[in-house]
Order: sequence, then structure tokens, then C-alpha cells
Amino acid sequence: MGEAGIKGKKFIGHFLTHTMNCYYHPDRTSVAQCFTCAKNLCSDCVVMKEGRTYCKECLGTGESSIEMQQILIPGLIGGVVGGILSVAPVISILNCVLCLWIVVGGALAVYIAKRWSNIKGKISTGKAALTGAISGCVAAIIIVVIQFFSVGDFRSLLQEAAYTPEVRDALREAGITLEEIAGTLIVLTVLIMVVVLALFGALGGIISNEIKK
Amino acid sequence: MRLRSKVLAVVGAWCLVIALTPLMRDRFPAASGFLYLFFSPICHQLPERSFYIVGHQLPVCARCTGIYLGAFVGSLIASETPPSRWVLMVAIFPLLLDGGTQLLFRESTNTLRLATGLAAGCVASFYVYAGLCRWNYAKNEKLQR
Repeated sequence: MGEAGIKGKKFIGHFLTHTMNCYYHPDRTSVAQCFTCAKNLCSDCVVMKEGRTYCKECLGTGESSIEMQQILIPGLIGGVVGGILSVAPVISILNCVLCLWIVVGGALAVYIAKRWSNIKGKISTGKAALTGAISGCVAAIIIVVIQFFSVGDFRSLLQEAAYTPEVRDALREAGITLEEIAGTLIVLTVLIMVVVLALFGALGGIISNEIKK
Repeated sequence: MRLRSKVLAVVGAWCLVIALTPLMRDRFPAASGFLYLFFSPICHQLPERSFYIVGHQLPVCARCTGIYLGAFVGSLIASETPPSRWVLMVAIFPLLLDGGTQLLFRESTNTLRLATGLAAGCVASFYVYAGLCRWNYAKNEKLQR
């Protein structure tokens, strides 16, 4: 047999060993394949659901646990990055695409949290959403603070929020002027920003956690 | 109530609020004004880039409208497992291309903004739905123990 033949045989042998054995336990023979990711699974790793076989990772039972303190700093970093990109000249315009930088900040926070904790799989959706939400909250606070310091007061924020003619007209027709309720409106706008940006950060965190290679 | 129904209820309610904002504008201007304000941090609300209902603009632009409608449609057909990351990249690329190039040398149309938003919102919801399914599954498993 020539060299090519020996190499081919070795390759097939290696392929069979590695494909017919369990992905998580290479010394065990696989008994099923995951319906989702097609990994070979041994009897300990297979989970049956609605007549189909899955691996624990795909069904969520293989989630890696992560503590609160492990997501706080990544959330903060994601928020700082998202917040700065949201107010940076020129590139902040990309926030027109569904608060892109806030979503990216949330996604980045989950990515960093997993990297720092050496997690290759997924973390729980709740923790991913929470990490993204922390990032969104931090980004909202950074945006408000930067706008305050760049202009000197919160009026710019109010002017921006009430930029739409519909808002001004609606308030005028309701017999309310912007000046009358400026204080309340500023607090309301900041609160809305924190809540809504936390929501978008959470979405970014969930999507980042679900993306598989 | 099944998870899909819950997700559809939440996304549907979000879309409904968007549609109701201009409809409420003549009868309840204060409530409508508050809703316009609510959506202002997440959308530029440029009049020329928004759709109109009964003569009043929606509180979000055409692109955001597409994304939310896409998320509703995506939640209807999403499965428990997320697709490959390439699917997300392919779906988001037209949105970024349209949004990015219109900042530089061209002006997009509301139809194009809606279409690219629909595709991106639809596919993005697949990942969110898969995440919620895993969350729900893990929660049920904990309850069974």
C-alpha cells in the first residue's frame, strides 16, 4: 500500500473514532445524535424530548453557571463602550439602527463575562439578559451625563426628546408647554432612557448568548 | 399560556402601542405626546423617514417599524433552537448597508428601510425566542425537581 493509502486509512480511522464516540466523553460509544447540533452523544449525555434526542447544551440543561459578581464588571464595560459610541461624533448615527451601540454593548458584556469565566457554552438566558440590561442602564447614564457636561444643562436632552413636531403639538393641544413641565419631563425622559436602553441591552445580551459557531 | 403566545402577546402589544400613538393623537393628545416621548430615546423620529397613519407620523421610523413587525413575524415561526450565526449576519447586512450608505452618499426610501428592517427583526427574534425557550425549559426543570 502506498503512502497515500496509509494516510487515507489513518484519516478514516481517526474520523470513525472521533465521530462514532461521544462528543463529551471520547472514550464512550455514542448512542444518538443531537437533533440540533448533530453531536454524537453517549447514554449519559443524551436527553429525549418529544421523541427527539438532544444534547444538554442545546436543551439548556448544560448551561454554565455564572455568579452575579462575574457579570457586574463586564456589564459596566459593555455599558461604557455602548454609551461612549452612542454619543461619539459621526459613529453615534449608527444608533439610528435600533440603538445599535446599546445592543452591541449588551452583546459585548455577555461575551466578556463568558471569556473571563472561561465559559465556552451558554450561560442562562436570565443571566445573559441581566448582563445586557446592566450594560444598557450604564450606557443610558453615560449618555445623560455626557450630554449634561457637553451642554451644561439637561435642556439639550429635553429638546432632543421633544424634537418631533408631534410631541410639541400634542403637548400644546393638551394645554401643556414644555417650559411648564420641563423638570418633570427631564426626569421622565431619563427614566424612560434607562428602562428602554436596559431592555435593548438585554436583547443584545440574549442574542450574543445564543449565537453559536 | 404557552411561551410562544406570551412572546407574541408582548411583541404584539409593543407593535399595537406604536400603531395606537398616532391614532390617539387627536382624541388624547397628552397620552399620545407621552408615547411619542417614550419612543424618542430609541428612535430619531424624523418625519421624512416615518410612516403616517391618519395624518400623524408613527412614533418610530420606517426601519424600526420594520424591525418590530419582523420580530412579530419571526416570533410566529421561530423554533426552539437558534440558527447559525451566519444567518444573523446575512439578515443584518442589508440593514447595515442601507443604514450606513445613506449616511454617506445616498438617500434610502421608506420601503427599503421597512424591508431591510423586517428581515433583520425577523431573524433576530429567532435567537431571542430560542433563548427564552431555554430559560423556560430550565425553569420548568427546576420546578419538576
